[in-house]
Amino acid sequence: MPVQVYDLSIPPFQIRLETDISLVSDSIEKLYSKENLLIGNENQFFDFHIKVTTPTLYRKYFRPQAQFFSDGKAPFKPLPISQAYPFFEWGLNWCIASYTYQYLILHAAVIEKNNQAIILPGKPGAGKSTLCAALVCSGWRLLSDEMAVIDLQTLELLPVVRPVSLKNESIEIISEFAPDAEFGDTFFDTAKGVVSHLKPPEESMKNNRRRAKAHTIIFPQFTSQADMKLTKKSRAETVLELARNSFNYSVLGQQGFDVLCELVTEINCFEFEYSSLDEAIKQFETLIEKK
Amino acid sequence: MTPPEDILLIQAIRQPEKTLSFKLDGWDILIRQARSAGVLTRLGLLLSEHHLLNKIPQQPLNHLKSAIVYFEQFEYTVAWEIKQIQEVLNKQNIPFVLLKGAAYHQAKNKAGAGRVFSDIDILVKREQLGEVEKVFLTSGWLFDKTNSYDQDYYRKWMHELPPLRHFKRGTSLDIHHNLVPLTSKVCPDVKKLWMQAETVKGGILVLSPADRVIHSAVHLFYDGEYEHGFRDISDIDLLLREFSKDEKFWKSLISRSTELGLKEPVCYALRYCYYFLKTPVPKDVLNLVVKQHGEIRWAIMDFLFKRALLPNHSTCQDRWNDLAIFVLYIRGHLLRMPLYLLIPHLLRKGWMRLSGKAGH
Amino acid sequence: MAVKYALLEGVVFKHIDKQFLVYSSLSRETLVVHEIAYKLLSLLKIHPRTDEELTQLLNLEPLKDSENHKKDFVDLTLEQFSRLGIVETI
Repeated sequence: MPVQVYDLSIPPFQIRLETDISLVSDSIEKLYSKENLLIGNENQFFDFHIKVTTPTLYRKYFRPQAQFFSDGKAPFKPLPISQAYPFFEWGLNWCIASYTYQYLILHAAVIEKNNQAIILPGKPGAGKSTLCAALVCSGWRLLSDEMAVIDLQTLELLPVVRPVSLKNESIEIISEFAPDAEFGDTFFDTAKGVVSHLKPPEESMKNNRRRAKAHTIIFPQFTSQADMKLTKKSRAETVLELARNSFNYSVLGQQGFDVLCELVTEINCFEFEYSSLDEAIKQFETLIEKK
Repeated sequence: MTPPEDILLIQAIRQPEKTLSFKLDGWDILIRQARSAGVLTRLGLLLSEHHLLNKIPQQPLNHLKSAIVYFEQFEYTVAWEIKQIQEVLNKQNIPFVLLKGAAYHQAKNKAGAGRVFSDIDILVKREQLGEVEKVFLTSGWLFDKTNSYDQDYYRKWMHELPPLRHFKRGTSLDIHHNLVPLTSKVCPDVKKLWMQAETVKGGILVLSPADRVIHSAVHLFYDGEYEHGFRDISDIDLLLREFSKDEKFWKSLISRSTELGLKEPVCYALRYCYYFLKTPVPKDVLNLVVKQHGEIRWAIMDFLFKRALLPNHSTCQDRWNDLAIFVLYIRGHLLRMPLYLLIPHLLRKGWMRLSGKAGH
Repeated sequence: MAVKYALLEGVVFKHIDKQFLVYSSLSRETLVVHEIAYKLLSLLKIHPRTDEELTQLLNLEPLKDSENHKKDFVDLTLEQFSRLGIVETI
């Protein structure tokens, strides 16, 4: 395939993506909307120049591979070509985490309803992406399934609306939970297992620049057949755990510490154990009604 | 070959106000050139100094701000690392001189502002190498390269112990006992460097101003690695501008470099600093530099260095760049090792890379 | 003259609800500390002190073999804080 160029607007970033791999261009066209396409004049600034291409001619035909380039540099080893699209999304996460220190970025999902945002910090395997996807398919606005981007001055949360990445059983769970949800292709044998992406709902897309104020921080933990439990978590412990679950806290130094301390002041922090998505969503609805 | 005036990054560094006329697509190239060259923070601080930050469009400004934020924490990290090293060596009364980026930081040189680096380099006395090694290995540092060939190579032929890494902090430490390998054609009398070393903040020793420039020049023009060539020439430019506030500096730099037998790399430094960044080198000094080589030799060196020292970005290179860098890489090795040692070394390195056994 | 302890540059500490957090820009450590340690830092923020002065000012609860325990606690805290890039001796 000849090289396709996509000039993407994924607020707050603008990205130029070049690819000669059809799996990537198909997924981009399926999972991103026309609001994401930058059209028109030549005079653009791109935060990231990304190429996802076959690394060598040899690797185009023999055990074909895909390589991720950020402005000409390849930070990772190549992956099998079948994983080229997830490679783009993971690579983009890396770019954002590596070059964006004007915001504090936590490893967390962020969703919003009634002008109140909930931050869901993610321990791996705790089920945050599934919960996030379920909420987003139930009328909650998606800011991000992966990163809580915090303005250092105003402490507002910035949306970074992108396809929601789901793994293994979550794909089926969400397909059943929300039969109308639009999914991209399924990718097998990745380092994370089976991966697929959920297209963000239109409402989330339309509001992809609208910031939100944090209302609650909830550490979710999916435990099969467990009784639902919402327990208050100390704010100081929350700061510690958020610091550990951050993409760039250690780079921000004192500013990061100040921002986290201010963030937790006056909002509630919880640990949340659940086994049913429906119950979890009901609980979340109750939380935001209280204000 | 791209003339330096055509490169946005060089325009911005020579005359920061020129950026006022840059459009978004120009900024797009500038930020990437600066980042690839390793001078993004330096550019940001320069623009800040000239009160131009608030005139920059928001998107590129985000990247400059981001780089500055990174640097602010980086300074603390370096300070802490230097403190740990100082504590370890002071306990055993082992003197050391801080080199390169860490020295610019400690001495508060302009070249240290916005300068990030991945290792700390120190100079110790050759007789104390064994002691120094022991002291670090028992204080939490480990060798990065553990195969015996690399260990031998570093100890015998290079001018340093193999790189050390702190087991917990992950920081890297390079220990040298001279500025160049013992096998090099020109090896300065290291005692002379110690004699002129100065004490700066925290009671730490750094090389004298002239020696700091000379070391940077030797490192750039003799080592054969040009990935950060532009940043290195920018370092030297800043050092020269700062130290030449004392008018006597130029003469003392030339005489000191002659004394150490390192006049050639310094001549290259002066010539190419002027070429790329219009460093205010006095005319008579530039004339002295020209006399260092004949016309043909200069033509060859210019062909090589006027390319290799460009910012390491696709927008700055022409089709001869790869060749120039390759030739200089070989030259760097030849300067450090005689041929009878070099060939087996390169062969062995090549084999290690192919069989995947090389560390990098 | 007795050794004095001072707060290092880039150290911040906060009181959130009933807990106390400290951050060191040098070591990049973020910690939850005991109230007494927090009070110790607050004292050092005003100006450097010796460990004797700190022990006195902190007015610690008497324990078994009380004098030594009080001072040990202060010394231990100061030693840990030195390793963690929070205080230094001057």
